[in-house]
Amino acid sequence: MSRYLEAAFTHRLALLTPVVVALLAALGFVLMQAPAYQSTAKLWVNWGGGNQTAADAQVATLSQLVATKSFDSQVAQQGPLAQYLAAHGGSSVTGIRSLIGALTHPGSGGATKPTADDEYNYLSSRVAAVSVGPQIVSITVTGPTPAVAQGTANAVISQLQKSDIAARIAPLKTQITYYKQQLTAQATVLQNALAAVHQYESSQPGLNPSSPRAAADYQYQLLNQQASVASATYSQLLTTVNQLQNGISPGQLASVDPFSITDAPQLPTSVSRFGKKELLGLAAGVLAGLLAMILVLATLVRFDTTIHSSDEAETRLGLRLAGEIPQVRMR
Amino acid sequence: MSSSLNVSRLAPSRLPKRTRERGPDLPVPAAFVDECRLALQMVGVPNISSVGITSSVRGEGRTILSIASALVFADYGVPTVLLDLDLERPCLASRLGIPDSPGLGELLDGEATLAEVLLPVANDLFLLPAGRLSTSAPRAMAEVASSDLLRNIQRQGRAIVADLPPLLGSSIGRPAACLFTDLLLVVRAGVVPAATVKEAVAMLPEPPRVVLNGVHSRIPLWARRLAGV
Repeated sequence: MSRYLEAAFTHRLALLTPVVVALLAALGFVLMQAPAYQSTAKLWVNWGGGNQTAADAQVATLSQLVATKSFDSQVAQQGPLAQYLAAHGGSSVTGIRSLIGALTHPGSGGATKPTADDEYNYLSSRVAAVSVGPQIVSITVTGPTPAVAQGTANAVISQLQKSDIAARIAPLKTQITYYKQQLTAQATVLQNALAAVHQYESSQPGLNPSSPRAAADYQYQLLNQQASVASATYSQLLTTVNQLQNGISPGQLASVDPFSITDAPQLPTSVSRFGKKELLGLAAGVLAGLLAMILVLATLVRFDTTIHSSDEAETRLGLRLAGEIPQVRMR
Repeated sequence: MSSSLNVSRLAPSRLPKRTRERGPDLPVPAAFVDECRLALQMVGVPNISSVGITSSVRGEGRTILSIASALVFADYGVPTVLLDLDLERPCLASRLGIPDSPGLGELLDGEATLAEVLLPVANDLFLLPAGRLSTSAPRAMAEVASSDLLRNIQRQGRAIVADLPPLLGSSIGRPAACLFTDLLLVVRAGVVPAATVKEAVAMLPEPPRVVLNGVHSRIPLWARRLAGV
C-alpha cells in the first residue's frame, strides 16, 4: 500500500497526464457533438396500467414504441425531422463533425431521403420519457434545431396517441371480425331455414301460416320454428356487431383519449450542450483516465526494484540493516 | 556534535588560510551526523577500531557518510583517521577544502611519514588523503594491503574510517572492502536496484551491514493518516 502511495506521490505528473488527456478527449468528443435543443411536454395520463401507475405504464409504452423503426419513421414523417435529415444527407451529425465531413468529402452534400435506419438511429436516443407523478409523464425530445425539436415532440405525442388508441381498440376489432363472421354464417342458416319453409309450402298447396291446416302440420311447424330461431340469432348477432362498431367510432374514441396534453412542447431557446450522451462520454473519459492512471501506477510499482525503506532492505536484500538516514538537505 | 567543529587548536600552519580561520568547510549537516550516529551504534561504535564504508555504485553517499562517521567517532573522544581509499577518484580532501597531498601516495612512496600525511580537520579527527599516486590504483591498493599502514594507525590508538571505492565499476572496490571486517554498505534509497546491491554483496566474503541513505517519503501526512501507513 505504502509503495503504491509513494509511487503515486512521486510520479504525480506521470499519473495525472492520462487522466487529463482522457478528460480533454472526452471534452473534445462533447464539443464535436451537434448542437442540441430540447423541447419538453407534459401529459396527463387517463388510463391506469394494472399494477403500475398510469404514468409508468405510459412511459413503458413510449419507450417500447420509440425502439421500433415503424414508430420512429412515422414520427419523422409526420414532424419536420425527415425533412431535416434529408437536407443534411440523412445524417444526424452536424456541428464540427459535419464541417469536417464537408471538408473531407466535398461532394457528399445534398438532399437524400433518410432511411428508416437514419430516423431510428436519430430518434431512439433522443426521445426520453419519465414519469413525474402517478399520472404525469414528461417527454423530452432533443433536436438539432429548436423547430425540429418542437415539431418532433408534437409528432411523438400525436403518434403515441394514435398508437395507444390503436392498441386499445385492437381487441374490439378482433371481436367485430369474429362476430361479423358469425353473422355471415347465421345469414346463411336463416336463408336456408326460410327456403325450407317456402319449399314445404310449395309442396303443400293451400298451406300458409294462417290456414287451419298449418296448426295440425307438425313438419310445417318445425320448419317455421327453426326459421324463427335462426332469425332471432341473426338479430342478436347484428346488434352485437353494431354495438362493437359503435365503440370504435370517432365520437366514442374521443371520450377514451389515453392522455391529455398538460404542457404542450415549447420552442427551445437555448442549446443543451450536456445531454445524456455527452455526460456519458465525459464519464467514460474520466473512467478511462483513471484506469490508465491505475495501470501506469501498477507498472511503476511493478518495475521499481529499488529499496525505499528499512523493511524492504531486509526483506529484499536479506541483509541486516544498521540504520536509515533520512534525506537531508546538503549545504 | 555539529558541523561547525572548532579546529583552530589543531589546525597546522599548512592548512589554507581560509581553513585555518574558519575551520574546515565540513559539508555535513548536524542532522545527518545525528542520524549517522544511530547507525554506527548498531555496528558497535565506539567499541570498534575501524570501519570501511562502501557502496554498490558511485553516487550513493559513501563520502558524506564517511565524513559523518568520522565525526561521530571523534565525538566519542576517539582519535580518528578518515582514510581516503577511493584511489581512482579521491574526493575527501576536496570535500573538506584541504589540499590532497601529501597523502597515501607519498606515504607509500616513502616521501612522507605517517605523521606528516595526517591532516587534522577537527578535534580528534585527522584526514589521510589519497595523495599523488606514482603507480596504478590497483597496485597502490595492493601495497596498502600488504603494508602495516592500517595496523600502525590502530596501534597509535586511532580509529579508522575508510571511504572505500564502490564495489561495482571499480577495480579496487573488492580488495579495498576486504581490508575491513566491519563494513557498512551504503544503499541509496529509491535509486539503486536491489539486483545491483545483491550483485555487489556477492563480491564480499561476509555480508555487510546496510545503511539506507536518503530515505524520503513523498506521501503527505494527511495521506498517511488516511491510508493508515
